[in-house]
Amino acid sequence: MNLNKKDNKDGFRIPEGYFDTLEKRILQSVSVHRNIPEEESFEVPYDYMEKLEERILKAVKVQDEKPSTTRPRVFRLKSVLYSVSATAAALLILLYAFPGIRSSVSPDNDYAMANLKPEDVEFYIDNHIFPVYTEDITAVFDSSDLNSVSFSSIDEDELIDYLEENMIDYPQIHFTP
Amino acid sequence: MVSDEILVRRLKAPATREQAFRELVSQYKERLYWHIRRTVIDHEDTDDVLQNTFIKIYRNIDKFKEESSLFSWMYRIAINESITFLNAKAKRKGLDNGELQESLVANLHADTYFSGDDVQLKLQQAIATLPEKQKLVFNMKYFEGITYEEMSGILDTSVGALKASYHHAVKKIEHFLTGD
Repeated sequence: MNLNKKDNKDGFRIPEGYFDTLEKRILQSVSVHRNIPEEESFEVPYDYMEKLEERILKAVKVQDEKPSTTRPRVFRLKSVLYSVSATAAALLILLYAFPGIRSSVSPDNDYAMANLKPEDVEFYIDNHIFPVYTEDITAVFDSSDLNSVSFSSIDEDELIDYLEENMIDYPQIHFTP
Repeated sequence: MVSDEILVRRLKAPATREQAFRELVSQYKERLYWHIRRTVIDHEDTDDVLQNTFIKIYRNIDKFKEESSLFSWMYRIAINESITFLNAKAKRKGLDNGELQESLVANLHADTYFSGDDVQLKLQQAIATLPEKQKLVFNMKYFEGITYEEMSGILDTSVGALKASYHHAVKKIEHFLTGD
């Protein structure tokens, strides 16, 4: 077979009029608006948006100006420890699940990590890393990976409560003590 | 409209913080409201979540490192507040997330602040059946017109994965609406 022949014939054929209707069919297939209405019809109460600013500013002011004595932060040592442990566990999972984060934590930064407050870590996890979905975790881990992570220092019931409260799509994973 | 950079600088300075925050609320209240509303459905719940979102923004503005746009950062807080709220609501009612979504949409029939016809109601039912991430991507793209690039920064997900999520969401919704 001569592959250098100019008039290559591959034997493929197309239906008659194929290219004439191609554009129309492609546009139809990519048009996601075909069968989906564009309006949702949610409404807001009269004047809601106009008054919203003042209400939010008032709420922020009230929160901000409350003296610390009127909103004492009462911590039970046990719950603080659990909270820290659960946050540490969540952080551990995230570090394993997202290598990009792990690589940014160098040994030189260890002292800085140790100085972080639990609430700062929680805020970071909440708002810098998008919620971890079950599918994200299962895409990265298999069961043997998870078995190698040590959770021995964390109370299991408390960990299960934490995960059930905070996981998205958790019905797909069943945590049993 | 004030640039984000200037606004953030004024938000971080105690002397200008209050006025800057007022401008921030004015500038972003509607976009954040409608995003939260599409997620939590009920107006009163939306109002609570929106207020919590702005309170969190106000309290944590010093932690905003300007690695993303201000809007992306605020949007992420709104998304997390909405999801946290729904999880807590589901737990309080003893429902899983799917059951909660169904009940929220079922209540739209009697909602004073929903004026949709049967087709629009069915659209909400269809959206409620989507997995959390697809629902988020669909709402952001379809109703809020957010670009994939901007969405990628907010959701920390690649543009390709977002396109795939949107495509799957649209197919499922079309299937639900047309019964194909």
